[in-house]
Amino acid sequence: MNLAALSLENAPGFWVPLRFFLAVPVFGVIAAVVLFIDGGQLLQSRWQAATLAVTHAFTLGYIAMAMLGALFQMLPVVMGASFPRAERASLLVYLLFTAGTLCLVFAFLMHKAVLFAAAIVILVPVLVLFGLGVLVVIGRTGNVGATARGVQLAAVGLIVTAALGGYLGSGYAFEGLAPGRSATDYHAAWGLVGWIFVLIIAISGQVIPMFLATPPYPRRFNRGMAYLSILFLCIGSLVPSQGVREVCVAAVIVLMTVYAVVTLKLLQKRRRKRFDITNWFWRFGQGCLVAGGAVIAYGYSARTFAGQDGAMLAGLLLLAGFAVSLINGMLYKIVPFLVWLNLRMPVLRGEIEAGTRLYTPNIHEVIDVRPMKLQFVFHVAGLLLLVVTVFQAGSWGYAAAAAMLISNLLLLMNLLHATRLYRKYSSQILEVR
Amino acid sequence: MKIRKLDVRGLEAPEPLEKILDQLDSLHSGERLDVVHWREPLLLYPVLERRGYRYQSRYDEPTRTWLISISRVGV
Repeated sequence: MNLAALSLENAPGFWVPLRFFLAVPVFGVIAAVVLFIDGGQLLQSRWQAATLAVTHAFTLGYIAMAMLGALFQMLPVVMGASFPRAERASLLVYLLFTAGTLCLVFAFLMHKAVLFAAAIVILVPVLVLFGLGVLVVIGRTGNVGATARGVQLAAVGLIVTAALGGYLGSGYAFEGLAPGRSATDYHAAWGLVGWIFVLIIAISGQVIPMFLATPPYPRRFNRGMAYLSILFLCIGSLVPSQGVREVCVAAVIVLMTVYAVVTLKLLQKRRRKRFDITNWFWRFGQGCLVAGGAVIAYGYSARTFAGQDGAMLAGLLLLAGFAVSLINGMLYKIVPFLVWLNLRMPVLRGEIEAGTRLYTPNIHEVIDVRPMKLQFVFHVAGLLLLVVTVFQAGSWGYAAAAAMLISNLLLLMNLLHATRLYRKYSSQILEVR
Repeated sequence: MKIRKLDVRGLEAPEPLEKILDQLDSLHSGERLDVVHWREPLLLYPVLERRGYRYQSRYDEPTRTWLISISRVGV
């Protein structure tokens, strides 16, 4: 099969990934509002209902939403794999996933069993079927590249995470069921490592050299990292021994640190030294990854962290620090690229005669630099204030929520600016044709 | 055959594709464009096929680069 020949024909329309990407900051805003309402007390324990609402607004509404959108774009264009009736499938996944996530967030906030039941009934089938679909459509192409394999491994991570999430949620939804708290640790570990970390490893192998103009990652690095992460996750989950589990946790922390160091070194080797906000989001995110790993390591050795729940701090650094920063940074690359790609598509497909003069914006002008810089400042401030909130409840929580709210509103504004530009120029191209 | 060389390493997407397409617009019969790239330009291939160019692509292991030779079909 000629993967390259498939890529232009099967490229999804502009709005297929964009509707996912535009929902990302909206869930960021929802998370910030919940934080604001519960600002004084939030983040004191991972078991608080409002903390779980914010966590899932981030993991599902922000992180998974962006990843699903990116996969609907990358599967056909980068891996030559496409869902049957991809446009319709993506719309269905988007609508159900958004509805399911809202149900879950409000279920935690309102303690409503019926909302938990709705969230389970919607989210588990959607995510499991999506994961299985990814495994099948990539499997059918025969593509065994590092990105394709990494995405398949991450799809396994997604399936396990969703299944464990459904099991845990059933304890809230149905009377008489009481899943053990240890299942929460497996749910979190598979979500964080098996789904998020493995997918970021796989996708960064493509997007860092492509959008940040770095040399490629070391040979077999991304493939090896993805396989090892899943391997240690499986051993740690299946072998019923505390000692083995701790060795596996330590091994994953080492993998996270190695990934962060190698990525930071690559970013240092950029040939173009022009200021790039994505670079700063990625550097900050890698710092959070190392810090999050260190907190887990410390938590394991000391069992507590300064009298607080170490898992809370680690989760904050790895989710809101690492994953959110990387996704935020990538949105500022992928969205302008999609604006450019879709405006140029008639030319690339040969539908407009070569040489026809069409105005398409320079990719660096699709989103202004200043509001992106400003958003970065609020993003960093929000995370640092959240870290302070873990140790010092009270007014710090409100300040963190305010910074997060402004950060996500700015992100939404910047992405909407890009879509307005696309609308403006896409109608001009139609007039020329 | 006259050979033009184009090094697009270190350029951010979509600059490599734009630069290659710019060069192709002025590529004459009997000329060949040799491109050095850090990544395999998957998006370029279907564009070349549609525009009637012949290309050969190979990965050079020692330099870890992709070398793409492009010429007009029938040359």
